[in-house]
Amino acid sequence: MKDPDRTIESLLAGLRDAEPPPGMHHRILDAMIARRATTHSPRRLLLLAVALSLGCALAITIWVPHHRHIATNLRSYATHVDAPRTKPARTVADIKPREPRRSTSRVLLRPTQTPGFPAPHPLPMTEQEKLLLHLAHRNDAQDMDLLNPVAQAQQSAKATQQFQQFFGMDTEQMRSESE
Amino acid sequence: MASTEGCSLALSFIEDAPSVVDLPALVDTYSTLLFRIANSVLRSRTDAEDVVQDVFIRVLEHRLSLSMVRDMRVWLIRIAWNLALDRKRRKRPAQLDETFAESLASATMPADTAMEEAQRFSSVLREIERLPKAERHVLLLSAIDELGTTEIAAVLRRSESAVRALLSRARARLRERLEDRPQP
Repeated sequence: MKDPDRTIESLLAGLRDAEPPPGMHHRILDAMIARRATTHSPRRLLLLAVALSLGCALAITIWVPHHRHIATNLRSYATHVDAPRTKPARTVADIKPREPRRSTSRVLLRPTQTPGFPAPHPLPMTEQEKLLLHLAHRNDAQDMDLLNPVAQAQQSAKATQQFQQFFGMDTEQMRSESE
Repeated sequence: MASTEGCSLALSFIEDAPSVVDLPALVDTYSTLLFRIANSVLRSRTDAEDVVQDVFIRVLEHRLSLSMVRDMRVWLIRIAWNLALDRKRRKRPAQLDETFAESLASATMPADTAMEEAQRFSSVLREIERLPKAERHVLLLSAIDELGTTEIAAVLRRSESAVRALLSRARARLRERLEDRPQP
């Protein structure tokens, strides 16, 4: 190629002096406006963030007193109950059937549990009760003597003496006669 | 200038409080320079305009951090340069070189010599594409008259002495290869 420097300079001058298409500025600004309309603005995001933080603050203000009330109840319950938290392993025998809750029993027992309420007087026994008591305690002294060894020994000695007096010989004499 | 003044009011809502940069003024000041840079890489006026538009869309997206940009001019040139290179990777090489050379020659030459000049331009463009990447980039950026060695070094993140050496080697290599080519 002849005179390459001149061709290079001509080409670079053409690149250097290239003019943008007419209306390019306006199209770029229009594109920026369109882009701005489709994207969220920082102000809108800021408002959203503020709304979210206010919502969180409101939720916390509602939740914290409620949680504190529950915690207080649990703490008072823990002070009343000294049992450890970890319960021992229960067997099947330990598990008792839960009685139905009766609100009336608590109401009926309440007057007797008050400090100033006197104990009720015992009612008189019926005839049947008196008869049962008499039968149960008949010959009571003899039954108790059977259990006393001293009285038992005395009774045995008395029986031996009565036997010897009746037959007029002692036990040694009786044994020699039989031999 | 008059066209952008009309859009200044429409774009006034774009200027949110933290941003102190006047975006319509930025478009007015830098769009031609950015167009030439993108055009030198892409060799397509349509693609170059798209790149310039993408540059300012990015500026719009990062307008809140524009105050941290130290050198707005170099920053914009670097965005346009990188976007143009990205776009060029998706194009077939020398796809539009013939058309581009013809339009370039017809703009600078009379019609009777424009055809011959267009062939020479096409040869030069092909040889530029065959240059090593660093040399090619420096040569293309040096073609933009408004860019000095300091700015080219800042855009390419190289030292000024390296830019000067690359430019010298690029021109020498290009001249040598063109001299070896037969006359079109």
